[in-house]
Amino acid sequence: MKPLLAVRDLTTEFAMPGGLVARAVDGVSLDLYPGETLALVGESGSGKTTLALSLLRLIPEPPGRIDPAGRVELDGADILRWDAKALRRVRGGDLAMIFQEPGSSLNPVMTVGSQITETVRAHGQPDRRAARRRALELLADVGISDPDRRLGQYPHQLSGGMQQRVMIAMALAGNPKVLIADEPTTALDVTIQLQILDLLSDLQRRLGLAVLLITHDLGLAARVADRVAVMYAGRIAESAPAARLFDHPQHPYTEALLHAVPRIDRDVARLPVVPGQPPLATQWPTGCRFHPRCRHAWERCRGAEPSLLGTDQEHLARCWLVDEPARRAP
Amino acid sequence: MAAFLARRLGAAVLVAFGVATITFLLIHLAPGSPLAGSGENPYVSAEAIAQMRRNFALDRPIHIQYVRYLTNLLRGDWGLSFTMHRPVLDAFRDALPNTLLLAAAALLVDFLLGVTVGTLQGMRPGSRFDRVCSAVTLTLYSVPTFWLGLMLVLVFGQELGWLPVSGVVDPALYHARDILGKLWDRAAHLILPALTLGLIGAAATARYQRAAVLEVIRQDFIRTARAKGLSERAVAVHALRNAVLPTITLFGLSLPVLLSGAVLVETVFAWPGMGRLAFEAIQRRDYPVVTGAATLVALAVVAGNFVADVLTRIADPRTREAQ
Repeated sequence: MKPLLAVRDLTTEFAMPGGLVARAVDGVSLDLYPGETLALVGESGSGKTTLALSLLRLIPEPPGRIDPAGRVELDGADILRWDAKALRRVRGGDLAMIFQEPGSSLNPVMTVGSQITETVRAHGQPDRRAARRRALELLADVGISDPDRRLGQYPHQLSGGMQQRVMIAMALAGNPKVLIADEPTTALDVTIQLQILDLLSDLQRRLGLAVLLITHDLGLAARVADRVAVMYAGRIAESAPAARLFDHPQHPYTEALLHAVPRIDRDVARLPVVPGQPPLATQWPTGCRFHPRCRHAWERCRGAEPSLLGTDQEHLARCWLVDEPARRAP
Repeated sequence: MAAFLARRLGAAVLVAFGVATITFLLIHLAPGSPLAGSGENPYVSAEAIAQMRRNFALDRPIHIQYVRYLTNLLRGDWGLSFTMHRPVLDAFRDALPNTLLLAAAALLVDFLLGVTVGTLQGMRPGSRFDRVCSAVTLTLYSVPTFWLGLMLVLVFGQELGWLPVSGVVDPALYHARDILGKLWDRAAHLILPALTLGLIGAAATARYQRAAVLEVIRQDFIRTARAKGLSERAVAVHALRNAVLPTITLFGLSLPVLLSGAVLVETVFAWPGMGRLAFEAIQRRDYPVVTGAATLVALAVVAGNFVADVLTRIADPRTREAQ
């Protein structure tokens, strides 16, 4: 099967004060297939949000810069080479995005209705009344009751979960093929989180959406993802089908992350954490970028960075242990 | 809404009362007296001065004067001017329309120019346009009003001779003109004083507006607008609807400043408005006029705040339920 969205060698840098350059995303390649959910998992600062924003070219340039050597291919056409007009068509069209904070992601002084209809009208339905009807449909689609009344309301009159539903309705306005969801439930209460997740999987089934779910929450990834890619220091550290990644993690970083998930069925005095600090994007470590925090690291890890290695193409890890399993510390 | 209006009206009365009291005390505490000029005049007899003092009730204790002034004010009687020998309210009735006309024209220049320039700057920070405008607005903002007025007089009145530089109309020719000629005469007299006030106001407004736009375009909802595939023009509308909010507050604060701060401009351009009236009244210790003018400005402050609040309620739905 051909991927719907193929990311190749994507590199995004930011010019920092003092002439430093932060390479937040460094040569990332990803495939997203029709109808699947790919979870992109990583700590804060690992570059996952920058990656998501780069896909739609929403990085402020300057100070940001997407390396022209990279490619973001949607159905085989490279978005990074498109002019502003074509880019506007794909944003909110084939590629839609929702964000972490629905409260601040909606314009506070415009009604819910006007924010949805303007999206509908920007994507092939310029007629005002037809756009309004479509907005009502969309609100009903995302499970908002009394959509007629909601259209006239302002974001602050809605709860956080309701706001995120409105964001999702807006994202669906252009009939997207791909939905990029950047921490869509992080800002919400736990019960609301589940409702939003259910809504997303329901919509995905009904509309055949491919979803790129960006999250720091491994539990969330385990619940909804078909495949998982773990990001560390601007690179993909490991990628695999969800079950394989959680049952047999190859990369010590993935392993450490899994250990750091609090479990209700185990009584521990202290929650284990990934030791050390995540590195800074202005000075990634030489060699393997995880080696300063890795309990298995040896000379090879300090000297050279592994590429994505694996016995089969489905499960890849950027770690020399794949090459030399005997080196794994007990 | 009714409770909101009632509360505002109550506040207006309280503020007016307070300002009238403070001004009354201050002007009476100030050295000099309304009759000082007459006292130095050898042709005015001591009896005449004593008579005037009795007529103006200046011989009564100050608390009696104060109570009398305030009860009269409550009845709508603003007193008699010591120097103009006419009711204070009559003098205001002549001067206020001129000042309001000047203030309206200045506000138009101020906010039309200031909001436009500030927005364009904020949308492209660091551009050549932004840097040039920042330098110009900072300079304009730092320049004294009267100096800018004099420069405009020098250039457009004196050197180029395009525009009249004093008064509201041409005293000699106005009455001979037809209706269009009269309108043009008024407009021509208005241009330079309105520009003087308006340009300096626009400099401040542009700097406010630039900061507001810069603040807004960093917000998440602007990123959402772009992510939805909206055009840059539509994104700018999203930004502007939020960036006008601080400017509305500035607008409310500008109203009374233009009413009272026009003193210098009215002096430079011989504009018979409230500023000049108050200024001359202070010099001559014309107590009822000074106190009356201060009370009027206080009411303008309340009115300005009220206008700003109403506009904010219209522009920002979040403020509506708060009341």
